[in-house]
Amino acid sequence: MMTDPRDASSAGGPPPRPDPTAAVEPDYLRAEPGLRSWLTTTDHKRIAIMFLIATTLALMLGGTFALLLRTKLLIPGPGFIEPVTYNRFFTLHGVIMVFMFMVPVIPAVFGNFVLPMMVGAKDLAFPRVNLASFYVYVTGAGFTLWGMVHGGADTGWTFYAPYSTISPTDVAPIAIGVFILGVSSIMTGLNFIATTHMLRRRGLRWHGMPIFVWTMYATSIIQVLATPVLGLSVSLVALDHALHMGIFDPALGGDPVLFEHLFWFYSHPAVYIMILPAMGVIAEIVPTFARKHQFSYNALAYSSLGIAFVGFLTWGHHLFVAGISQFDAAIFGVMSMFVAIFSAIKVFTWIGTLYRGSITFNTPMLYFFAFVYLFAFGGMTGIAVATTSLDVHWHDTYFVIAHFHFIMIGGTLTAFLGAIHYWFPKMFGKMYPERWGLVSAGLVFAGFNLTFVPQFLLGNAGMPRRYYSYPIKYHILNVASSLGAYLLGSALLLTLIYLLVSLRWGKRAPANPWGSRGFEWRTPSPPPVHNFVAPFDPAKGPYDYDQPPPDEVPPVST
Amino acid sequence: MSLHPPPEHEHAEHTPGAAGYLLVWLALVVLATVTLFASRAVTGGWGLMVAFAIASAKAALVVAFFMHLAGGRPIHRIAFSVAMAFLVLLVIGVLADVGTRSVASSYVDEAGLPVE
Amino acid sequence: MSAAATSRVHVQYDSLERQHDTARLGMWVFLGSESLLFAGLFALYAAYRFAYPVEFHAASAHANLVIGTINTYILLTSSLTMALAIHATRRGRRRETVAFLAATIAFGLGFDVLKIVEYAGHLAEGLAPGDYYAFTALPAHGVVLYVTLYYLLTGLHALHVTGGVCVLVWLALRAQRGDFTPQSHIALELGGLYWHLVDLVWIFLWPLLYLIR
Repeated sequence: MMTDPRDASSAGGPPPRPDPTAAVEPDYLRAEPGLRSWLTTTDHKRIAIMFLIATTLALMLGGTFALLLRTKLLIPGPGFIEPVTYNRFFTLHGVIMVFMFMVPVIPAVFGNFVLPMMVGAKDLAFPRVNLASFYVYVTGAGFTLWGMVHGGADTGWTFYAPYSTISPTDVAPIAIGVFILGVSSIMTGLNFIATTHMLRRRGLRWHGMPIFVWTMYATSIIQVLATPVLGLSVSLVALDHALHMGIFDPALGGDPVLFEHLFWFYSHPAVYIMILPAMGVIAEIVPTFARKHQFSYNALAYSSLGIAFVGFLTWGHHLFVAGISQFDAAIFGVMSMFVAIFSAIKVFTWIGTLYRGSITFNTPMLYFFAFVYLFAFGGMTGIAVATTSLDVHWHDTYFVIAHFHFIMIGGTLTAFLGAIHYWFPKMFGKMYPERWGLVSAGLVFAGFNLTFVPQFLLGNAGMPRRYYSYPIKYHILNVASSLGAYLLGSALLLTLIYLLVSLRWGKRAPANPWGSRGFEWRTPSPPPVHNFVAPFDPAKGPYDYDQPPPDEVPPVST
Repeated sequence: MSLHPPPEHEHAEHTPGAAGYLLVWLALVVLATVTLFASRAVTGGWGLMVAFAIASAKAALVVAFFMHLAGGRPIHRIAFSVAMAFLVLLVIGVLADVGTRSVASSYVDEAGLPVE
Repeated sequence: MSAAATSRVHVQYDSLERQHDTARLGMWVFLGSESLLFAGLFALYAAYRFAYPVEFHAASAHANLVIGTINTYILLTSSLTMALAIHATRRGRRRETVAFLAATIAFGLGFDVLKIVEYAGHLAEGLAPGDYYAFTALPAHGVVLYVTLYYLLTGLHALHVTGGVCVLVWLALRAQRGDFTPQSHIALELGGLYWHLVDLVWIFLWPLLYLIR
């Protein structure tokens, strides 16, 4: 029931056929043991694992701050932390979650691991740039954490001027950390663009690529073109804070709204940096467990590019009440609606793929269902807040908090969890315990809803975001939200534990435990250093479920 | 795009050659000098337009010939053009706000006069 | 041939040509990314110039047009010598390559030196950014935005010039060592592309900062 019947034999005992390749090349995990060879590796798979460790640590740190915030909000009035500490905590929660977890996680971990395999390459185009991107990430994270230990910032992750330029807290190191993390993100994007264009296996056309590659490509465009503007805007804040350049200072004639323009030129598309890779993951999971070809390949592929491009035209909807002109607000409001069209195309396509499919309900699929529900809900509330008149009521309330957590946690985090379960056998050569997976997926979904549905209600009732205290009438919903956060945190911890346990004690994974047609499943688990034993045949597409699984046919030799 | 790129010597054929480079440089110097004089002759909004048009022409020369974009692969042209498009988009998006703020954010009566 | 050792085909490529083409694409994407770094400052410039046309005009009159113009010609010419250096490599003339690279480096350093002279002059007058503005001839409001943007734009550009010079020095040393052959000199090409971008940015900075009428 858990896996396809055809694979049931291979999941338990020894693999059905002797692996003829094991002697040729050791797998990437065992190829060159030792910490030193890991830290200096240029193998995209090892770099992906290092990013997985780093981003998981970031998630735990950011999550800890979230739980501390929710603990404070259990009771109105003074709590176990001071108001200024509370401000620092929500700033660090935002900065860590956005720049150290959400933005890099799926591209740098799963993109790094499977994208070269999905295009049939032996590595990314620029392996040394890839390794450098990891160390740049570590450096940026180091700056941010140093700033955190050194006193932290109380500006929120958005660093809005003019407050961020005069805040008594230590804004500069955190802003510089964000800049450096951005450089890492650009390096990843650049690598993926070059790889997708130049390293596709002979015979693999654009329209033969897995959808995940399309979404990574679209993501990379945003990373490469928007991140520099973020770098510039946070640098200006850091300069202003340290040296009083006054570029946004109204006393000198400056306009703080311009900071918001620059910041959201990146940070709105950054939402698509977070959600497009998630959509790519979903697009791989659905056909595998529905045993069906994508309902519409072209719609999925081009809507990814559509989201990337239209995503650049919507940044102004964050500024509706900041004092931008009604003309600009109207344009940005309308453009924001267009993103919904492309997103809806994707959701309908996945539903269409499910229709009359042979669906297997295992953990990645459960996360897909969570994703669709949460993403659709989050997306529709996004349309609501992109309406200029409604935004006046909801702006800077918990409604907005709940909205973007539905997209970021409900979308990206569930897709991340789906991806880690889906590709876990490929990455580590071990199976995770399906029963625990299903339980924790259910708990994540329940915990998430308990945390954030009350926040929609709180926001609609008028509770502003970032406030240390609240009137007693908001008490019950806040308690519910906090309890949900504990449940969500526990579920994530449970997931981490059983995944770590199965690293060592998990059942050995066959090359293709899901019976997927995807290219990355046509190689042993874990893959050899150069990914493939023999080149795969791109004519047998990644979604050709009317054909027998490609690993049951001998690989073609060219 | 083709999976089989042209060999290096074909790539080299697209370069302008030493004489070509000198010619491009000469054009750049002339255009720079024109900019200098035009800034004296044409003032105000038109001055900005003229200066910007000449600068764009100079940039096009550098990109096309010194950077070999004219003879390079189409994907290089696409990559750089997309970046330029988003550069322009950012400037336009900001100007569309700043440029229309005073007009649209005040209510206008029947006579077209702003109402406080 | 020593070049064979330094620019061998990496495992993921089927030919050196493809590897070089990929590096070129990577460089163009990087240059696009770099342009967007300047785009934010250009957007600020556009917004503030729209808001303070008179102040920008008045402040720009105090820019050092002579040095700005000389630097324009210097950078245009350095782009020529850079292109000629690559051309010389293609024809297999190593000494010519090194000479043209040395000329490009000299122009880059000359640009930086003139820029420092220009900054020093402005700072002595009190034309300093932000809170440090102490220029008595013009009131600060609005004018200081031009001055701050002038420093931010030219400062960011000068950083790129300096970085470019460092890259050029490394390339010149490699050229001297004989690393580049007519068939294989991708590092030189990429360095050249970067240097031309520096020129491109200045082509726009010069009229925007020095020639406001």
